[in-house]
Amino acid sequence: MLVRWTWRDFRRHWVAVVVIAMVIGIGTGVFAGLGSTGTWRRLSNDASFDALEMHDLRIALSPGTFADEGQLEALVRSIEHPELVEKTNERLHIATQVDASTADETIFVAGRLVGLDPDRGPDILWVDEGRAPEPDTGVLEVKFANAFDLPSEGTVELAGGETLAYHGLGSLPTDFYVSGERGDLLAQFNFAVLYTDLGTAQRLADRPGAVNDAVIGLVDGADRTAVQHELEDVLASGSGFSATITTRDEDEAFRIVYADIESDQRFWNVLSGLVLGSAALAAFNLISRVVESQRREIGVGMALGAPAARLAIRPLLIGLQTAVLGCLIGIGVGVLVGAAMRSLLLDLVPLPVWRTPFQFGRYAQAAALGLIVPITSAAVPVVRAIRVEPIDAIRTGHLAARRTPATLRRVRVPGASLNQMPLRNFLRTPRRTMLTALGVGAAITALVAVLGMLDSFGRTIEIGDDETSQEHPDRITASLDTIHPVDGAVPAAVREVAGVDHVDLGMQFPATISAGPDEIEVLVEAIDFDRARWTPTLTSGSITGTGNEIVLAKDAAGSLGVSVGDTISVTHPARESATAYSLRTTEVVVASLHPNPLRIFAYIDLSTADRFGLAGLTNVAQVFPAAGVDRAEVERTLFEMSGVASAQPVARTREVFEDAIDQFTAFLVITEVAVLTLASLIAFNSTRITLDERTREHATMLAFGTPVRSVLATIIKEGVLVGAVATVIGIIGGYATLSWIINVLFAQTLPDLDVVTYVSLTTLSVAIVIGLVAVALAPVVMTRRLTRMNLPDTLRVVE
Amino acid sequence: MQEPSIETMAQLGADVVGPGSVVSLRDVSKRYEVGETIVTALETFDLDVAAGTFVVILGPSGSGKTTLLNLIGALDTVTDGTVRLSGRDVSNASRPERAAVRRGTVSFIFQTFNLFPGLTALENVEFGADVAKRADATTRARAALDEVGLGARLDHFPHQLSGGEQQRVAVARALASGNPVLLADEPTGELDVATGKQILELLVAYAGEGTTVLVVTHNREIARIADRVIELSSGRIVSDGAPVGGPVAVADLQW
Ligand SMILES: Nc1ncnc2c1ncn2[C@@H]1O[C@H](COP(=O)(O)OP(=O)(O)OP(=O)(O)O)[C@@H](O)[C@H]1O
Ligand SMILES: [Mg+2]
Repeated sequence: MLVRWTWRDFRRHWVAVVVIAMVIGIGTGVFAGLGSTGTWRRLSNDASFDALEMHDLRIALSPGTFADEGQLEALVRSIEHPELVEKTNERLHIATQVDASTADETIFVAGRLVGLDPDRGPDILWVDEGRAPEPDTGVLEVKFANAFDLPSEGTVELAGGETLAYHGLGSLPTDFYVSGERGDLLAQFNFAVLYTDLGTAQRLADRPGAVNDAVIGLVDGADRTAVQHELEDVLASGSGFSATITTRDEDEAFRIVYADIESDQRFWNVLSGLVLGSAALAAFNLISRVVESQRREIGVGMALGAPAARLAIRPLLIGLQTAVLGCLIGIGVGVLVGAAMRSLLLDLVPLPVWRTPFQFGRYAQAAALGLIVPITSAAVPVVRAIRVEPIDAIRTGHLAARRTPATLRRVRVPGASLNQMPLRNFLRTPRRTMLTALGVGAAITALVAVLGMLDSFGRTIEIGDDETSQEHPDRITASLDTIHPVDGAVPAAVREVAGVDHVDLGMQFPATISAGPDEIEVLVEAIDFDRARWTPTLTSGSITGTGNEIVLAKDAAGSLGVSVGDTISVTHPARESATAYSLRTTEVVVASLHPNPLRIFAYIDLSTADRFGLAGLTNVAQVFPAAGVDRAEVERTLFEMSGVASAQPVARTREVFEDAIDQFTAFLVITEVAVLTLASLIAFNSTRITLDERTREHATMLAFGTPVRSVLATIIKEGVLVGAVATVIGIIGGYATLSWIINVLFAQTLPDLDVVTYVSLTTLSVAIVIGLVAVALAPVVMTRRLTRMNLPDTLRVVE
Repeated sequence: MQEPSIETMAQLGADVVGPGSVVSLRDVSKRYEVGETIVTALETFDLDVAAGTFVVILGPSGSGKTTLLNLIGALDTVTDGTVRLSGRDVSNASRPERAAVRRGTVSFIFQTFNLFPGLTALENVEFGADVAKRADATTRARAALDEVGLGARLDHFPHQLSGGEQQRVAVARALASGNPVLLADEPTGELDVATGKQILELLVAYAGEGTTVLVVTHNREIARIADRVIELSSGRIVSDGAPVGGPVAVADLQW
């Protein structure tokens, strides 16, 4: 009998069970799917570094010094325990400029030419597309190529006008993450690496037979630090070379790709937790409402003296059905989300080896949650029904109503009796109403948070773009090859370039700013605030020319915990003689803040530059093309000039920003789809259950001849009330979650980028549509249930 | 969707049935199919009820009393035959048409009350007047509640009322509609003798003023006050006529 009864329960509730299972499935699936990426990336990085024989140690000769081929290898062989070294690979690294312009786009960037033996490890060159370097042809670094959508075959021009054809895209393990002197965010975009065989690099660099770098693979089990010390010893003991020796763990790319995984995973955990949390809350609400309808039966059973355990079984079975179905759907959704994440990862993160095994552990966690939530949700109302006096369980309305103050329950709105019903029903069972609103609200919270994140990214990009462009979107930043006097030949030549309307000379240098124990790296630019055509927007305070002023990004000041008027220390290069520079620390006052979300940018005026010992020097020119002149033409002329290292239009900042958050954006879209589905399902099912709960009242109204549309109107009005509360909860909750994610989580994940918390009108509209319109209009879809209702049967049944 | 108006429909059917016959059933059958079995609730049923009659329908459980009331009240459709309500054929009318007929013609007192839990007693009763489009809904509702002896419980919600009080609210709701046909399924089932009599007095009084009242009950005693007693068994009429010795006053009843 229990089986038949349960089967009947299932037939009665199957839509609810299936929809709640879908809600749970999406929650757990997103949790499992998003949760897998961290492990996948870690495994894939391990495998990739392994496959490419990532070096154990690396010798980098001091800039500008070289060794003859074989000398570094010999040096390695001369250490105390040469048997620990398995192989050594000598290479030549040359700084260069790269013109990778295509028909549509001018691309002039700083770069590096790496000459190596393409077939040897350690640090084997991975060729993703195309062929390994052959004499006189190269391989272009894949992330740079992807960023500009460059084809896998082409020609680039290097410093000195040499052209180099490349027949493939690839990367060294040490270039899995490219960082340059202008800050991590921009480097991937602004820095091109080209790999050739050693001979070709030597010829292009005009350094026949020279190398300046060696990577070393040790035998299994060798202690890297011990060998590092041995190497340092032989270097120091009259080798004639000055070099730095780093271990694999000190390699920046190696370190950052793993650190990146950690912080990215934390972000995904929060997001999937949010989705799972809202799904769980909604599922809890929905299931308890379905089970609540059996409370009366439990009461009757108790009154008849049936054992509590037997009465609890049926409702608990509803929970179990939902749980099992939810888990199955969850695995399906998880696999789908996982597959989407996987293909995005493969697309966005070029790696030679991908390992994306099914994450049993994560899925087991998700499945456990998927089982616990529905069963608990079913158990709570059952326990409540069993605990109360049977008589109260029978008279459910009585119990529920006690919680609203009587005066509130009698609130009258204008109009006839039918008009009273929505608000009354809303107030009659406040606990249930609030739970419903919370369930829908939780889904909207996740929705607002996810969509808000995309909005915030977009808004941040806009702010950054506005600030760098201002009234001059055509501005070109030309980096000079080295530091020149402002009245030198190179700056003069830049001013003379055809089609140039105006040139501002600046001096850009990396510096460390600190206040108390906190310090951050910045890129300071000395600008003539009085005359320059582009100056940063000063959001507070001003430059007065006192010679000790600095303008910081709002976020940089925030990170240091300083505000306008506070004093900070700047450690910066200062000129000692015509060619020699040393590091010096100067105290300056934060004179003002600028709104650029990239916190790396800082500015000083000429009087402060003077105090820094950098007066009259320039290494960067802000070039403003004349009206009507083709910007690309000016870029090309600038780039081809000797003394100019790169020429970048500031308009590209936007692309740089977009690239930085590309990965998040793409993945967020997956989450967005899940959350939208989730919210709609919850809204829909919530309304369906409300309709179930009110069937009898609707039947009575219809029996008295109330037209279907009037009954529908009361249902919709009640839906609007619940939906309005849910939407308010969702928007407030979503905004709070969003600002927590941005201010706490992103502060760690994207420390260089000051993401603003911003929720667009579109997002608000979507939230309102889901919360209000979907909840309120779902009954319209279910009009059939009213028009087809079997009135005699519905009215006959004692609920 | 334009709802047909009552007046028009009543006029349409006026020439078919004598003006005195408010309820008219011809060859009506109602069968339910439950899986393989067919349950016949009513079998080739004929019935005419004149306006202002107080009819009591008796019969054992399952004999088809509620089914009959549902058909008369245009809540349900027939399997065979014709049901006319105020002259209008409702036997196979569309749902909106039947709803419109009910709105202006019948009021129900359900076996299970079916009050709106969110509305107060007064508002529940107002609802009856509202659907029937009575202009002075609140006044009518107060009067009706006074009549059933609940004038002091206007602001109470159904769950704050006893079963009998809820029953009386349901009666008041039907009375407040002012519709010409009143259908009551066991209206005194939950009531003590005194209150039961009070309600019956009311129904009798309304019948005296021209309302056609059909009351379903198990209680043979109640049949004594009726103008006409119809007894059902297995979906057929087994007896029909005035109570033996003619109707007595409610005060003379005892159970
Ligand atoms: N929806 C239905 N499906 C199947 N059978 C039904 C349905 N509704 C009523 N019946 C059957 O029709 C018959 C008449 O039912 P009805 O409710 O009219 O009886 P009743 O005389 O009102 O009984 P009671 O005095 O117990 O209320 C019964 O046998 C009942 O089982
Ligand atoms: Mg009955």
